[in-house]
Amino acid sequence: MKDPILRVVNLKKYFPLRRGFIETLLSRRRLYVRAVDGISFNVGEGKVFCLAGESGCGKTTTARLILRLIPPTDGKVYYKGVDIFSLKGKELKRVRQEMQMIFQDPYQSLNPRMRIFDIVNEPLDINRKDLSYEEKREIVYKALEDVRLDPEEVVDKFPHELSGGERQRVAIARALVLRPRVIVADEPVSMLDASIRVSILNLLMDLKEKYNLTMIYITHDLAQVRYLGDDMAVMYLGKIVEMGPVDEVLDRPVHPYTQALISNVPIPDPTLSRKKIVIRGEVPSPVNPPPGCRFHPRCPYAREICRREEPKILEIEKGHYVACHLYE
Amino acid sequence: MRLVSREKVRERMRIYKRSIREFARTYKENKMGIVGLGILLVFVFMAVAAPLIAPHSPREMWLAEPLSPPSKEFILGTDELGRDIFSLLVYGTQVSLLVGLLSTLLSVGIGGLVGLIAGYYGGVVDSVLMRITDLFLILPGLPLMIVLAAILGPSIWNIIFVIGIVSWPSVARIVRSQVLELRERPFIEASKVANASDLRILFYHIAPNVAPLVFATAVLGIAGAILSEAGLSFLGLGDPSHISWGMMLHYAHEFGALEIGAWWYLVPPGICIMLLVLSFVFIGYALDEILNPRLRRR
Amino acid sequence: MHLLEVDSLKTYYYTRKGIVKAVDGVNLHIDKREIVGVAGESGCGKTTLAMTIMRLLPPEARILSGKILFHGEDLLSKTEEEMREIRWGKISMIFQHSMNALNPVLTIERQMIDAIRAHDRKLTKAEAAVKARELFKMVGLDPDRIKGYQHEFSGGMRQRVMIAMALAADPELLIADEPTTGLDVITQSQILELLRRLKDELGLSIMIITHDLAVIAEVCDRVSIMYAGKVVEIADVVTLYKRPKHPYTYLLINAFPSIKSRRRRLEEIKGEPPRLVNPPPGCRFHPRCPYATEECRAKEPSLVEVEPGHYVACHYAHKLNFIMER
Repeated sequence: MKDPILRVVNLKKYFPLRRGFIETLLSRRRLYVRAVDGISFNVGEGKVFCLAGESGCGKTTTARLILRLIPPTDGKVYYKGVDIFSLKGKELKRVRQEMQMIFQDPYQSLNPRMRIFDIVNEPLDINRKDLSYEEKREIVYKALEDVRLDPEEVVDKFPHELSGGERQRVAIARALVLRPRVIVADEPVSMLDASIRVSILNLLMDLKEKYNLTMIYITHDLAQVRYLGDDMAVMYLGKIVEMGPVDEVLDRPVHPYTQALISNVPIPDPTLSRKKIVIRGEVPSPVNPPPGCRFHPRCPYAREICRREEPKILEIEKGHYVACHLYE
Repeated sequence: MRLVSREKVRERMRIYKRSIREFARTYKENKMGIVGLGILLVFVFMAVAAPLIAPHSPREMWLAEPLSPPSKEFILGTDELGRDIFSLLVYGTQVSLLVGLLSTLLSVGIGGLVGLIAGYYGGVVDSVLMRITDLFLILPGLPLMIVLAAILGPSIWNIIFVIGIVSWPSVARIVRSQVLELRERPFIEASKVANASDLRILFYHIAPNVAPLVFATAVLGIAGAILSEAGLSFLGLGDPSHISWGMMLHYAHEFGALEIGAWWYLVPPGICIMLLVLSFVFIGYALDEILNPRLRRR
Repeated sequence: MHLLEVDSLKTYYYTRKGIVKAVDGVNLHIDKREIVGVAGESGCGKTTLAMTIMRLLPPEARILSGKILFHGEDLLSKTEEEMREIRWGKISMIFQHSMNALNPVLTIERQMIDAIRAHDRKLTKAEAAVKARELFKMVGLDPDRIKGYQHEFSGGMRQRVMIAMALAADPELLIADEPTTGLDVITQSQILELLRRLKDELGLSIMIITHDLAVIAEVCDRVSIMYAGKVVEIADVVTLYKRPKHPYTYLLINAFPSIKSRRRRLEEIKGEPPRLVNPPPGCRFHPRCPYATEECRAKEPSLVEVEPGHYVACHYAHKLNFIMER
C-alpha cells in the first residue's frame, strides 16, 4: 500500500472546563472535557475518509486539530510524513495551503461584510503575493465556475444576498483557490435543504476527481458516508470504536454501538421493515466518561470486563478494526 | 511594493458607490435620522460659513451697549461686554463641533484598539487591559475631568484630551464584547486556515464587523462630548480664546443675566446645545437601528 | 367527517420587502388516530400552516381566505377567547427547538404543574403533581426524576418533557414541528417510536412537520408534500414513496442517499426553491421540473384526486408514472 497522505497518531484534545470562581476555590481538581481521547487513523491519498458519530463524539474537534486551528493535548498528525504540530513559520504556511476546510454553516463561515470576490480571493491575497491582480481574478473566476456559479453574477454580492446552497459553493470555491491536496469537510450539507444537498455532494465528488483531492468528510449521517466515503471511522465519546472500508463497516458492523447506530438510521422507504436495536439512555458527558469501555452503560452485551478495562482497537479482518472486548 | 492596478481601484469605487447608495436608501426611510441629520446640517453650515453669517466679529465689543435686549442691530442682543450674542452663538458652533468630533475620535481610537486587542488575544492581555479599563470606568467622570482640566489649563486642546481620555473605557467594553463573539465565528477560522495573520484577522475581518456598532455609539458619544464641553466651560474651565456655548452660559451666570432678566443671553446657547445634542442622538439611534441587524425591522 | 380539515387556506405575510405568500391555497385533512406528515423544504410554508391552525401568527401575517374545520367547526370564525380553549385543550403543539425553551431555574415538575393548571384551574397543586407524574410515565421518563432541572435532562429527555406538557390537557390533535431535528440518530428513533405509541395508546392524531423525508417514512400514515406555499401531493405513505406522481416528490425522494447500498450517482434537482415574495407563475415547480411544458409555465395546476386518497397538483399527473428503484 502507498504511504498514507495523512497519519493521525494517538491524538488527544482535552478542553479545560470553565467553572465559576467559587467552584474553583472549593475544589483543586481541574476538570476537562475529553473531546478527543487518543485516536489514530490513516488516510490514503485520493480517498474520502469519513468520520462519523453523534454530536459530542469529537469529530469536529478532530477536524480542527488536523488543520491546527487548535493545539493538541497530545499526539501527532503527519502530513506526507511531516509532523504538522512541529511546523513553524514558512513551513507551516506551506502545509496549510495544501489543507483546506469547508465548514458546516454557510451562514457563519463567510464574512458578512465582504463581497464574494474578496472572500474567494482572500487565500490568494495572503499566500500568492507573486500573482498580479489580473491573475488572481482569473483564478477566482475559475474557482467560481468550478463550483457551478456564474462569476459575473456573484462577485459583487454580499453573502446575505445568496441562498444557503450558493454560499456553500462559495465556501468550496474559497477552499479550492490554493489548489489544496486535502480538504476537510465538516458536515458541509447538514444545514442545507434536501433538494440542494445532492448537488453539493455531487459537486464535492466531482471536484475530488478533477483535482485528485483527498477528503476527510465529517458527518453524523451514515447515508452520506455510504454515498461518498471510501473508508470510515465511527467515533463515540472521543474514541474510535470501529474503522474500516465503508461497505465493510456498514454491511458487517461488529461493534454494538455501530450496529445500533446503523439500525436506527431512518430510511425513506416505508415498506422496509427492519429490527431496530434499542439501546438505553443517551451519550454520557465527555467530562466524566464511564470507566472501561465508554459504551458499556448502554451496551446490551456489556460484561464485567467492559466496566473495568478499556478495549484495545484490534484488526479483526484485513483493514477492519474494532475496539470491543467481544472480539478480543 | 506593487502598485494597485487601475482596474482594481475602479472596481472598488464602483462597489463603494453601490454600498453608499444602499445605505442612503435605508437611511432615508428613518424619520428620526432625517430630522437629526437636518438639524446637524444647519449647524454644520453655521460653523463652516460663520464669517458670512455672523453680522459682527465675536471679538468686537460695543462697550456702549452692554446687555442690550434684541434689536435690529443685534438680533439676539449683547452680552456684558457688548458683544453680539448671535455672532458668539454662530462661532460657538465651531467649538462645539470641533470638541465633539475630535474628543470622540480620540476615545474611539483608544477604546477601539484596547477592545480589539483585549477581545482577540484574551488571557493575560485581556485581563490586564480590562482591569485598566475598569479603573478608568469607576473613576467618577465629571470630577476627573474638572481636576484634569484645571491642572492642564484652559485650552481647547486640553478639553478635547480630557473628554477623550475619560470616555474611552465604555467604547473598549463594547468593542471587546463584540470581538469576543466574532472571534468564535467560523469565518475567522476559515481565514486562519488560509494563513491569515492575527493582524489581518483583527483589522480586516473583525474591525469592519465591529465598525457599524462603534460608529453608532461614537455618534452618541459626540453628543455626550458636546455636553461635557458645555459643562466644563460652564464651570469656567473653558478656553477664553474660543467662546463656546457653555462658556456663554458661564458668563451669563457670572454676570447675573438671570437676575436682571437678560433671557436673550441665557436661552439661545441653551437651545443650541440641546438641539445639537439632540441631532446627534437622533442620528445615533437611526444608525443603531440600521446598522445593528438585530434591531432592524422586518 | 375528518378530525381536522384545511380547505384552500391562504396566509400571507405583509413585510417591507413585499407580500410573502407562505401558505397559498392549502388543502389537507387529518383523521382520528392518524399520523400525517407535512414535508417540505425550508420556506415552503409548512410552519406557517401549523401556526395558522393554532392561530398563533405574528402581527404582519394575515389569513386571507379558507377554512380550518375542526370537528366540522371553522376555527377561523372562533373568537380569541374560544380559540384559547381549543389551543392546548383540543389541539396542542410542540414548537421547533422548544426543548431548549424550558426554564432553567424552575424544576421540571413546577413547570409541568404550571402547564397542567393553566388548562384546568380546578385542579389543586397536589392533583396536578399526580397528573404530571402520570404524563412523565406516559412519555417514557422516570417519574422520580421529575424534580430535576432542565440541565439534568438530555436533549431527548427534554423533548419528551415537551411532549408530556403538550399532552397535559388531553388534546385530540398534536402538531409537532420538526420534533426530532437536532437530536441524535438513536434518540430520534426513540422519539418517533414514542409518537407512534401515543397514537396507538391514546388514539391521538399527530401532524408532523418536517424537512426530513426519512422521518416521515418511519412514522407517518399519510403524507402531504408542500412546495413554495402549495401542497403538491397527498397520499398514503407507501403510495407516496413507491408510486409518487408529482415530479418534485419523485426527485426529492430520489435525492436522499440511502444507507442500504451504494447507488449510482444521485440525480440532482436543478436550481433552488423560489422565494415566496415573487413565486414563478403557473406551476411553481416548473423552473426546476425536467418535464415542464408551456402549459406548466402558463397555468397553475390544481390538486386533483388521481386515485382514491391520492391527490396530485400536476398537469401531467395522469401521464407521469414514477417507479422507485430502491
